[in-house]
Amino acid sequence: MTVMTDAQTGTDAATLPRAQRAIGLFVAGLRLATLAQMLPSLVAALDQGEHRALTALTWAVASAMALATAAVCVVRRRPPGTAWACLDTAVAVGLLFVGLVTVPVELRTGSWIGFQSAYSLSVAGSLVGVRDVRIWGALVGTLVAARAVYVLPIISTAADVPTVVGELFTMLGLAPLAWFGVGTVLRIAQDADESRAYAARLAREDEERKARAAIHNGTALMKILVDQGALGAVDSRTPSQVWVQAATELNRMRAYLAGGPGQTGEEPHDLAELVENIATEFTDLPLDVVPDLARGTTLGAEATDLATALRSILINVRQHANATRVVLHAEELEDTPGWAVTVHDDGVGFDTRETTYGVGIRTLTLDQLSPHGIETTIDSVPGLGTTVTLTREGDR
Amino acid sequence: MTDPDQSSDVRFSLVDDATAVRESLAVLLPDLTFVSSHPSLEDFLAAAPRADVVILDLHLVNLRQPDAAQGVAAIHAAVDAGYRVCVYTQEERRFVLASCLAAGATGVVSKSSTLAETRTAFLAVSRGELVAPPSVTGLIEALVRRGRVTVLNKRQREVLAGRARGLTYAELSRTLYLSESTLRGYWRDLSGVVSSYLQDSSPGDIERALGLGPGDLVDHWPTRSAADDLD
Repeated sequence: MTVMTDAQTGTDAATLPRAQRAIGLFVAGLRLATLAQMLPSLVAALDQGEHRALTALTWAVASAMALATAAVCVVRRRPPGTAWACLDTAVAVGLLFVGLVTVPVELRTGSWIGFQSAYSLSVAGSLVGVRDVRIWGALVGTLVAARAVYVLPIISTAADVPTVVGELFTMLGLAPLAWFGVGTVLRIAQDADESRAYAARLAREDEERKARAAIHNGTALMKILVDQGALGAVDSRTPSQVWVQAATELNRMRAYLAGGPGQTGEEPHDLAELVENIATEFTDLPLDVVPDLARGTTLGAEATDLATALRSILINVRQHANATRVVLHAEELEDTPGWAVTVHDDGVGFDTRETTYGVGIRTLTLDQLSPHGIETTIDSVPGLGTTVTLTREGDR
Repeated sequence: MTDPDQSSDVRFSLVDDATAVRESLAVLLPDLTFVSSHPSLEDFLAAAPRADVVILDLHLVNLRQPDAAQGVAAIHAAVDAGYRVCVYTQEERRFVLASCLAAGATGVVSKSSTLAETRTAFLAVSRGELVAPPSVTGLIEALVRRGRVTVLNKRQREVLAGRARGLTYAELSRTLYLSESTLRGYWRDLSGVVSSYLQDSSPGDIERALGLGPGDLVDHWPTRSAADDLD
């Protein structure tokens, strides 16, 4: 029986919120890092120029806005939304314009005394939470224009032009890069969540399909038996085939209730896994699997032939034994290297001296296993049941 | 020689929330003496019938009794009240069934067993014999093989190995050249040792012994707090 965990269903492990939180932390880090780069130049900035109070105000506003933006990111567990981004941009533009007064022209690039330029770049990088491309474009465009106004006075000769162009291209290059990168991360996270939900739905549908298969035929048979029971004819007139089918369906329901590993489609080389896999193919048998002593027992090239032999033995049990209990036991031998697999049924049994083995036992079991050094013993008593033991002694 | 299957004067009481099971089991097993039947363990404990074995369904909660005790808590409570417990259930998961033994049940019997098998199993439990399907017996064999249960002698280990492979006493008798009653005696002796080990060991010990991952048994394994919840 498949049971989905929270992690598998995605209820507690959605990727999108985690991606948004990571991006929010990135923006918070970006703003705090910019602030950290600004602060060593604070004293120098206050010491120069004649607008000391206004300069102090711009530094205070920039610091407060950077800290507030970082706090918003941490609290919301995502980057700032559109409203905050507009406010952030407006403040940055205001700082650039005030910088025209407070920052000498020669200090507007290449110096943290004129922090406005780098600050506006960090604001542009913080706009990744605005996912409407038109709004984002307008905000970045506003910042680029304000930054152009701030740095254009630098140009006094032709040699200054590349510096200004480079300043503006930095923002025009990095801001879109961050925005598209974040968009890609968010899309990947969203795809992961949708895939997880899809896998959970498939698993749930598969579980429902297995449940329906387990009870469908059984329900129909019970209806037949109940109908006949109402007529008082259950014991004497119910066709024996109906009872045989009823037993088969009962075993199928028991196998579903017992759960266990699903079929993987290839032969494992761990002996315990191999017998567990084979058991899943015989859910119509009243099969108990006892693999505990075989865990970690590694098979070599004999795995495929062993699996074929076990299937052949269990098909024989299905067709001939009429068993109410079948036990498939696997073990690593206790006193000598090697392993053994035992298939026991409590069915009709047979006289081993008088019975000629069919193709299944003779060819698929005895002939194919002996080249691997696997010995097959069959012990059966009419009325008691049959035990087939496959033993491989010695190191592989 | 005593017939191991004789019902004698063993008194059974049945606790099952399914009315059909309560009403029919005594009819289907006419030579067993059922002194009472109850829809819940609380009802059973209040009545305190004079029974030797309580046949206990594992799942007792339903719409009529949503707060009924069930599972290992119910087993603990019945054992603490002085009853020998045989769990009678549709539950097939072997770790869950093993946890019933760890909680103090003497046997676990599947409701899908034939009436003959069920009768034999109930009587075996009344004699104090551990009754479990081969899948659970295989777990016990693994614990013995890995030295966790150490006081078993050679014959007891042979009987355990045979039972884990699904062999009946009749089949074991042929291969070990011992009478069925002797084999039952070996099984009865090892039942006590195994029951004590299961009840005294932590899930972690058993996980390590069986090579399971940490926590694989915790969801199933009984704790005393489970029983306390009933108080």
